[in-house]
Amino acid sequence: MGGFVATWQPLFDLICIHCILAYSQYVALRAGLFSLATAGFASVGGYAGAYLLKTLHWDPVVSGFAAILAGVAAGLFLSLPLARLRGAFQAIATIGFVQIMVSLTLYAAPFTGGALGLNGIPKVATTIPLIVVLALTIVLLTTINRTGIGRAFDAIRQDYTVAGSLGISIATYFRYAFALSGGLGALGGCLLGFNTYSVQPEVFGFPLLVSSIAAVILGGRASVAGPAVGTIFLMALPEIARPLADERLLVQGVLLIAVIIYLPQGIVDSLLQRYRSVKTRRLSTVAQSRAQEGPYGFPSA
Amino acid sequence: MDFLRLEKLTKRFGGLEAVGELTIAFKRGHITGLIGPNGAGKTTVVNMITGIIVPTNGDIWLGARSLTRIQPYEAARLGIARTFQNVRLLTEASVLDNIVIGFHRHQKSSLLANSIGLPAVWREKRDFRARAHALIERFGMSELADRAAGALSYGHRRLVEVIRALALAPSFLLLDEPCAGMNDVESRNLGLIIRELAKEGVGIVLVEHNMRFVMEFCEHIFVVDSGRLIAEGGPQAVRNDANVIRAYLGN
Repeated sequence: MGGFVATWQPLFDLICIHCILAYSQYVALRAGLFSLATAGFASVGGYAGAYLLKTLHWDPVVSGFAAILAGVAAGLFLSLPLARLRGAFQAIATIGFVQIMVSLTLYAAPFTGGALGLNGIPKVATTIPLIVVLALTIVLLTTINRTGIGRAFDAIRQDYTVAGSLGISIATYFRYAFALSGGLGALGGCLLGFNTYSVQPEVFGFPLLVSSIAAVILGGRASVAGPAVGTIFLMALPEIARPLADERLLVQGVLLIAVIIYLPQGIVDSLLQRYRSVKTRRLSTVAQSRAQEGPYGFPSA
Repeated sequence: MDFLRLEKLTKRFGGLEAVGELTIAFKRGHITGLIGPNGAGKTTVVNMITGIIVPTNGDIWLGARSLTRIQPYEAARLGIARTFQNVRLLTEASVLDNIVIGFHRHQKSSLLANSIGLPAVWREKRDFRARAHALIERFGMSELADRAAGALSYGHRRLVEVIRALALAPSFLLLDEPCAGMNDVESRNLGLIIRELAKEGVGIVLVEHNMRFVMEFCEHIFVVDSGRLIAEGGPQAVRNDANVIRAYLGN
């Protein structure tokens, strides 16, 4: 039993952290933002947290909160120009942001340690704190989905002209989504540093950008369970099927293509949709026969 | 707030004048028609009133409040609701959810309260759902409340869009070709609904091609051609106006 825990605990920790990063990406997509800035936010949070904890010897919890605030600030800052852009332009601009963060952390050596990064960070983000933080994140996102914010996000994502005509301020909700995505991304980056002893520029580069969006597409973009399932798939599969581990990127690519073809809504959302359509088909035959003639005489299809 | 007035409203797209110095007014509690041949600039007018297009010149007034350079969401918050020429529902969402989103204008809880789910937020949600159910029931759609909006028949989808606009509790409702694609029975039923709404005090602005419908339900009609007002008056007067006949039938 002890051997089992020792073997799988590091993987479990990483899955928790990458779940949070996937949620940062998820929030953006949910709101109809084509932001790919998660890796950049993670860089902000990773370095801010590590600097405060290791160099300034702040309390870990305070450092973590400060890292989140830095991410929220970065998100709000990005939203100033980007809340007015749409689609592909947002995507390109946010990729630029990720690249800028990689360069910044390379050149600002006095604070960031340059290419070597910051090393010897105390391991404060152990399994129990990680589980607690992830649980809080899930509660937060579930709440948002079920309240007015989720409604507004859904409307904006599906048709922003309609959303505007119903009184939803798109710029406000884009700013909010950027701030939340920034906070969660920074939290994930910070936890990564607090768990793996070090932060380096390339850890927060293009591969992290790809893996966080892959987790969301693989798992599902609508339900909160989606990104978590996607992350588990992406991270655990190569470990369980050991021979696949060397071909991690290949496995990731094949998985993504297969899911996009066969489960275009992602694993969780596609399965939920299938379950719901079976249920409504059973109910709708009854409803339809009763609704043939409403009081205003609209015949149903 | 009783009048929606356009004063010398003008919109030019490059060299093309879509709407030119249009001065008209709509009144609450009445059904006013805005008609004209294809390309007359009717939808441009609707888009300017709802803040989607910024006018080149001129002003839009809702009572004493200027709407000339506002964002679409601000127009909605001031009580101007609209439907679209091609029905635009959230097709993935249920009929009920489509209508609940129409209540966004009435949301009082803050973003922060919604993020952490304070009790007031859930009360508000229950309230919106109850009011949405009441609206759906009023239009006889209760059986379809849980269906995905995209799965409904065309007439039903039109009706859902109108109900969603009503959820805003608008002072003015702009209907952009509500009868397009409807048969006579369906459009007549829609006419009866909007007549009822006008009686309740909503100002109805009806942009429509279906002449029979316009003549039957509008109390006052503005006719535009190439962005300019060419005639106005009651259905009879407009029908017999020489300018109108020329615009529709040619010389």
